[in-house]
Amino acid sequence: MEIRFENCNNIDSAAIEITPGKLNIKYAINGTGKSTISKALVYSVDDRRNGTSDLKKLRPFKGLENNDSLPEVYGAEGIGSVRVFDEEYTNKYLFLPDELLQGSFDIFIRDSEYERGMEEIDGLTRSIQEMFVANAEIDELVADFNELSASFGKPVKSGIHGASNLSKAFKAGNKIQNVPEEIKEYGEFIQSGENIKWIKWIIDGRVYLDRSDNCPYCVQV
Amino acid sequence: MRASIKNKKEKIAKISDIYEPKTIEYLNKIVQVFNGLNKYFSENTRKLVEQFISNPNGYTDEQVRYLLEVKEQIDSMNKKFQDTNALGFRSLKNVDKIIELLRNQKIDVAYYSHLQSDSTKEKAEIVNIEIDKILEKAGVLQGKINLQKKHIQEVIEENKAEINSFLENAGYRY
Repeated sequence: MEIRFENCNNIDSAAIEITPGKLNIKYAINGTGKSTISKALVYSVDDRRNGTSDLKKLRPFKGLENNDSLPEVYGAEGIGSVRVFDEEYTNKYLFLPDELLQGSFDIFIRDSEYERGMEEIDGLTRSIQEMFVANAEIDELVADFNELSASFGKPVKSGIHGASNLSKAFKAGNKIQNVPEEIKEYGEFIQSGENIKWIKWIIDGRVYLDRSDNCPYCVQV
Repeated sequence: MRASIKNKKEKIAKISDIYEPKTIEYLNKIVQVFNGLNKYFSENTRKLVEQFISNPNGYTDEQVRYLLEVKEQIDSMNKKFQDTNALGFRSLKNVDKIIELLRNQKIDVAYYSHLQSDSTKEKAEIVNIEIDKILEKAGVLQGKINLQKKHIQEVIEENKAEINSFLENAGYRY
C-alpha cells in the first residue's frame, strides 16, 4: 500500500510503499526523513484510534504562520497498529552489554516474595538472640573466654605481658596451692575461700607485732 | 605461761612478703575461670593447663608458648560466638551478603585442637544449627532469585537474537 505524507517537518510531500503485516525496512542517508516518516505514520494511526492530535507536532517551521500547511498522512486509514524499530528502540533494548533492561533486579526480583523471604531471614537472625538467652552456658562460656583472654593483658612479641594479671598471678608459681614449707602451718588460712581478706588482715596487723613479744591477738594463753 | 611470739614474727613477715592481696585476687579468679573452662578443653590441654595453674614455682617459656596457643584458639572461637550473637542486632538487606557472612560463622571444632571436647561440640552445634536455619532460608531465596535472573536472561537473549537476526537479514550492519 502507498502512504503519502505532506507537510511533515522538512518534508513537503513524500510517498512510501509498505507491506502490511511484514517488517518494512526503509534505509537512506542521515537527514532524509526516515524518522519523520515513521513518526508521522505512527501519529496518524494513533490519533485516529485515540482521538489525539499528535501529528500536529510535526508541523513544519515554515508553516507556523500558514494554516494551509498542516501535516497530513494519506493512505494509512486501513492500518490498525504500527510498530517502529527505530534508533530509540535499538538503544533501549539492544546492545546493552550486561543488562538489557536497566534495574531489572529491582523491577523483577525485589518483589513482595523477595521481601517476605528477607523478613523471614530477619526474624531468624533475631531469634539468634533468643537462642543465646536460652543457652546460658554459652553466655558463661563467652564470659569465661573473655575473662581469660583479658588476663593475658596487652599482646607482646613473645610471652605474656609483665603487667598482665596472668603474669602477676603465676610468675612466682601458685603459692596458694603450694604453700611454702616454712609457713606450712598457715595452710588452712592461705587456702581458704577468704584468703584475700586473711592476707590483708595479716599485713595490716604487722604494725602491732613490734610492740611486744606477745601475740597481739591472744596476749595470754 | 606467756605466749611469746618471738620466733613466729619471722614467719608472719614471710607471709606478707610472699602473698599480696591483688595477686591472690588475680590468681583466684584465673584459676576459677580455668576450672570453668575445663570441660571445653581437650584432654591433654586440660592436663597441661592444670600443670600451669598449679606450678609451685614460676612458669617456663614452653608453658607460656603453649598457653598462648590455647588463648589464640579461644579468641578465635569466641569471636565466632560473639559475631553470631551480634547478628541478632543486624538487619540484613541482601541475600548474597547473608550467605557470604554466615558461611564463615559456623564453628568447626575439628580445627580447634585445644578445644576438643563434647561440651565444646555441644555448644558449637547449637550455634551452627541456628546458622544453618538462616543459611537454608537464604539458600532457598537465593535459588529463587537465580531462577528469576536466569529466566530474565533467557528472555532477553531470545529477544536480542531474534531482533538482531531480523535486522541483520534486513541489511543492517552492526
